[in-house]
Amino acid sequence: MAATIPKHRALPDKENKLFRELLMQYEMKQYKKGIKAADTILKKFPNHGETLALKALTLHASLPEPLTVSAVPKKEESEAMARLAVKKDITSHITWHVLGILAKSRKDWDEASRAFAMARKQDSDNIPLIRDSISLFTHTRQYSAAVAARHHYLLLRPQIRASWLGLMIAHQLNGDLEEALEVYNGYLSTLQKDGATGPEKSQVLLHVIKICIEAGKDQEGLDKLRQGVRDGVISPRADDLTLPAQMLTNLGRQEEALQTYQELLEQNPDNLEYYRGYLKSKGIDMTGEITADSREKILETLSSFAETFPRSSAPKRLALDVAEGDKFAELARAYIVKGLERGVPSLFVDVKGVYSDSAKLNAVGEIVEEIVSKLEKEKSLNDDGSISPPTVLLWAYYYLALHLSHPLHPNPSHTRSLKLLDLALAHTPTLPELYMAKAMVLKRAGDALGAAYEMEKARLLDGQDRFLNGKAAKYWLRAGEITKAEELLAMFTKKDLTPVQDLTDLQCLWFLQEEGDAYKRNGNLAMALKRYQALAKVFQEYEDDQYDFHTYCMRRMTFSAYISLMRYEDQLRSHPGYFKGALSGIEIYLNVHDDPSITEEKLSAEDEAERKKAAKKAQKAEQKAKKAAAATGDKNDPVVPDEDPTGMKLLKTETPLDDALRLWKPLERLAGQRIETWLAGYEIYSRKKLYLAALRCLNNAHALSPHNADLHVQLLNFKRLTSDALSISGNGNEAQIKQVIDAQLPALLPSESLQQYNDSFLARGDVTPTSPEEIFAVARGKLEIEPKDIEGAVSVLSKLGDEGVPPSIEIMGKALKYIQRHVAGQDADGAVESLRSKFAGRSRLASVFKSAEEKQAYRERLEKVAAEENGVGEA
Amino acid sequence: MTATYSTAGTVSAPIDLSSLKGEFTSLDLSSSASSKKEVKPKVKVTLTSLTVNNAGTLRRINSVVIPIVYSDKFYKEVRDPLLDDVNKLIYYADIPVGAICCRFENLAKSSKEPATLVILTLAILAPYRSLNLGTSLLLSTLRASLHPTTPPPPVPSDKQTNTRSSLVAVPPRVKVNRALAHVQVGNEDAKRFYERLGFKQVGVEENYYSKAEPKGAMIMVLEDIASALGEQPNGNGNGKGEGSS
Repeated sequence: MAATIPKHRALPDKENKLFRELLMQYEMKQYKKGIKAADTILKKFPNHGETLALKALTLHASLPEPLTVSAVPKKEESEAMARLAVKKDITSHITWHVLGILAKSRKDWDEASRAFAMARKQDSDNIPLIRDSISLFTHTRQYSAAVAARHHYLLLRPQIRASWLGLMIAHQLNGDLEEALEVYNGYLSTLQKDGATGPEKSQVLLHVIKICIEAGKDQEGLDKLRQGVRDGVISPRADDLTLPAQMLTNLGRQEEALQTYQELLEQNPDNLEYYRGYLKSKGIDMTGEITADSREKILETLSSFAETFPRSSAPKRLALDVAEGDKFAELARAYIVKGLERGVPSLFVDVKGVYSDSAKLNAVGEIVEEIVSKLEKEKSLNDDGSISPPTVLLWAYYYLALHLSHPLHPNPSHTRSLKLLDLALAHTPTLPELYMAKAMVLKRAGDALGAAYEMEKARLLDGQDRFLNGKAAKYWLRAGEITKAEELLAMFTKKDLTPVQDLTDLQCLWFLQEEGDAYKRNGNLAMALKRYQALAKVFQEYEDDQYDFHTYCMRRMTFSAYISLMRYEDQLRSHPGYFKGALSGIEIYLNVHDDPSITEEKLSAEDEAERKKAAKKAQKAEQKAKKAAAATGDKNDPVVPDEDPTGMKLLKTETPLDDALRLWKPLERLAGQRIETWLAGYEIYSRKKLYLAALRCLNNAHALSPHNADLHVQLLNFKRLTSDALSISGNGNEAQIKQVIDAQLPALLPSESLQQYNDSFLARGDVTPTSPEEIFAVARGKLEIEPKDIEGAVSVLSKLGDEGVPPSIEIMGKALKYIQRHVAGQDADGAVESLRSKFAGRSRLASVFKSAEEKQAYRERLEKVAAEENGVGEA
Repeated sequence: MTATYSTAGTVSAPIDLSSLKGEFTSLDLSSSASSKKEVKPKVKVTLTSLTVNNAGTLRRINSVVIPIVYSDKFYKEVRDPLLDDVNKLIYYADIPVGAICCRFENLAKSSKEPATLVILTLAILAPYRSLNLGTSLLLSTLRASLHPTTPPPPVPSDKQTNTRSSLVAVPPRVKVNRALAHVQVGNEDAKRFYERLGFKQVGVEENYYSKAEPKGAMIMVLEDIASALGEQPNGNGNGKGEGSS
C-alpha cells in the first residue's frame, strides 16, 4: 500500500474492516457473504472504486460454469461494474487488476494484458500482478515486454531459482540465446544449493544444452552434457543420446558421431532419423539430391544394417527410397513379399511413398502382378516345395487392388480393382480391410452410395471397432446421409449429449469437416458454414488452452516441452485441418457475396406455417421453463442454449467478404507455400475491389506454379476486371493503381490476344497429356473473355469425357455445375444434358452423373442386397 | 556411458507371449502329422470366444460355408457362457477363417441318455482347408468338453444390470465324453474327416434338413472322446493327446 491513501479511496475503520473481510471472503470462495459485505460498504460510499471492483469480481466468480440462462445478465452486470470501478478510481491497482481478470476469463488477451500493464503502473512491485502479466505478455507474443517483467521479477525475488530460469526462457523466446545462456551461468554462480529434484535438474540441463545447440555452441553443449552425465544429473540413454550425436555431427567429429549413432540404433533400430543422422555424419545428406556415387554408399550401409538388425524393416524401407532400376526391383520384391507373408495390412500405405516416382510405381505394379499370378498357379512363392500360407494370396489381391485404383496411377482401373477385391472376398469374406478397400475404390470411381454400403458391411463384422464405425459414418456423410451417420456415431459418443455436441467437444476435426461438406453438397449452406466455423473455433481453443502452460511449465521446469509447444502454437493454423476448413468456409462466404439470395430460405407456405407454429411452441416452452426455474431457484436453471442452431445467423452475415478474410489471414502467414491459399486470397480481394492485394496474390501464386489451371482463369478474370472497373470506382488514386497493374501484369499474362492465349493453354509444350484441370480452365477462360460463348465452353468441356483424358470425377462434376450455373435462364439445356450423358458414359460407376431415377433404383437395389446379407437385424 | 540395459520388449527383442493365457488361446497345428505340404513361413493360429461383437464375423463364415441360414436365436444361444470353452472362432494369421458351434445335451444327472456334445456347425473357409485347422479346432473343443474349465464362467442375467456380486456362480459342468455330429448324406469328405478322428456312423436320420437337398443326415458318434484324444479312460491325460485314427 502506498504511504498516503488518496482521499476518495480512504474508508473509515468500520468499512475498512469490512473491506478486508470482503477480500478474505473472496479468497475463501464465500461469494454470497462477500457480495453482502460489498453492498454494506457501497450503501455508505457508492463511489468507492475498489469495493465496486471487488464486488464485480466476486459476482463474476459466483457464476455457474457452463453459463446458465439466469446467469447471463449477472455476467454482464459484473463486467459493467468492473468498468465503472476503473472510472471511479483510475489510480488503483485493484480496479485495473479486476478489469484484467475479467478480460482474461473472457479470453480477450489483448485487453487483459493492457489492463494488467495499467495495474502494474499503479503498483509495480506486486508479485501476483507481475506473474499474471508475464503470462499475458508471453501469450500475446510481446516477448520484449515479457523479458522486462521477468527481469523486474528477478530483482524482487533473486533467491528463487524459478525467477532465474524464467528469465532465461524469456530471453530464449525473445530470440536472444546468448543472453539466455548468460542468465543460466549467472544462476549457477548465484544459487549454490537450489533444492531441485533429480528430474527437474535433468530437464533444465537438457534444455540448456538444446539452447547451446541452437546458438551454435556445440562444444559448450557437449561439455555441459559430459559434465552432466559425470555428475549423474542426466542418463546416457535414448533421447539424451541424440543430443551428443547431433552436436558431434555439427562439430565434424565423424568417428565419435558414427559411434553414437551406432549406439542409438542398437537401442532402437526402427527410428528412421537415426539412419539419416548416421549417413549425414558420414557426409551423405539423404534429404538433398543424391548422386550415383552416394546412392551406392547409402545402399551399402543400409544393407549392412539390414543384416545387423534382421527384424527391423526401417533400413529396408529406406533403401527403397534411394535405390533405382533393377536394384529397386530386387529390393522392392523382397520387401513386398516379406510384408505379404507377414500379413501387414498397411503394406500398401507403407510402400506407396515411392509412388511419386512413376518408374517405381510401374516397377511395383509389375512385381505384384507377378506375385499374384505365381501364387494363383503354384500356391507358393518358395522354391523348396513348401506352400505359402493362403493369406499371402489374399493380401496380394488386396495390394494390387489398391495399387490399381491409386490416384497417382497413370491409368487407374477401378473395374479391375473391384474384380480383384471380389476374388479376395470369395477367398476370405471375413477381412474388414477388403470391404474398406472396396468402399474406397467405389468412392474414387464416384459411387458414394455404393461405397457407403460396402463400408457398412465392414462395420458389421466387428461392432466394437470404433475405427470402422467412424469410417462407416464418414462414408454415409459422403453419400449425403447425415442422420444415418449421426446414428452410427452415437454408438460411441456420450449418451447424454447429441453426437454432434460430443464430437465438437472432443474437437473431432474430420467429423466437422465431413459433416460440413455433406451439408454443403446437400445444399444446406447455413449448417455447412456452422460446422466450418466450429472447426475454426477448435483452433482458437487450442490457442487459448496454451495460456495455462505459461505458468504450469515454468513450475514443472519442463522447458523443452514448453518451447516446442510455443513453436507449435505459432504454427498452429498451418494445420491441414484448418487449411481445409478455412478454404471451405471462404468458398461459402464468396457464394453468399455473389448471390445474397441464397441466404433466404426457400420455404413453401405450408413449411412456413409449420415453422411459425414450432417457433411459438418453443417460445412458450421456454417461458414456462424460465418461470419454473425462477420458482425453484437455481436447480432447474438450464444452460444457455445455442443461439444459432441452424447456422442461419452465420450465413446471413452483412460482411461475407470480411468474414472470409478473417478465415484467410492465418493462411496468408502460415500456408504461403500452398497455391490454394493465394487462389482463395485473389477471390476475396478481387471481390473487395482491392486490386493491388489481388495482384499480390496472383504474383505469389504465379511464383509457386506458373501454369496452374485455376491461376490461368484468375489471370483472365483480373484482366477483364481491371480493364473496366478502375475507371468506374473513383477514390482518387486509381491512376496509380492502374499504373502498377500495367507494369506488373505483362509478366504474368502475355500481351498476345486473350483468345489466343486461352486456346494455347492446352497446346503448351511442357505438359504432354492434357489434364482435366486444364480443360476445365480453358472453358472457364472462354467465358471470362466472352460471357456469351456458352457453346464454345461446352465444346471444350466435352473433351473431359474423351478417351485419353484421365477421367476425373471431381472435375467433371465441377464442370457440370459450373456450366449449369451459367446456362441458367438461357436456352441451352440440351447441351448440358448431352454433356452429362457423355460424362456418365466415360465413368460408368460414378453416380453423380446418373439421372434421379437411376439413382433411386440403385439405392433400392443396394438396400435390398444389404438386408439379405445381414439376415434379420443385428444384435 | 557404460550403463547396461535390457532391450526386452522392444521390436528387436520381443517378449514371448505364447505361454500367456488371455483373450486368445494359441493353437499348435503340428499335432496331427500328415503327408501335407509344409507351410512356410509359419503362421500364428489362435482361438477366440464368441461375443456379441464378432457375431457378424461368425454369421459371415457360416453363411459362406454352410448352405443353411441360421436364426438369430441360434447365434444368441451359442454365445451361452457355459459353452464358452467349446464354441470358438479360429484365427489364421489374425484373420478369422473358421468357427465351431456346439451344444450339450443330456447334461442333467437324471437323464437316461449319456451326456453328449452335439456339434452343430464346423466351418472352415475353403482356401484354408487341408491346413489341419478343422482338425485342430475340433480336437480343442473335444478336449474342452472332456476337461471343463473350473470354475465355469458365471451366467449374466438378461433382466437386470449385472454387477459383480449379482452374478451367480453355476455348478461345475460334468465331463462330457461323448460327441455327436450330423453329416449330410453324400458329403463323403466330411464323413471321412470325422472318421479320422474316431467318429462312427450309427444311422441315418431322414428329413433332418428342411431346406437343403438331400434331406437326410448321417449321425456320426464318438463314444469315447478320451481314447480318441489318446488319454487314459479316467481322463488323467495331459490334454495334449494326438488325434488317432
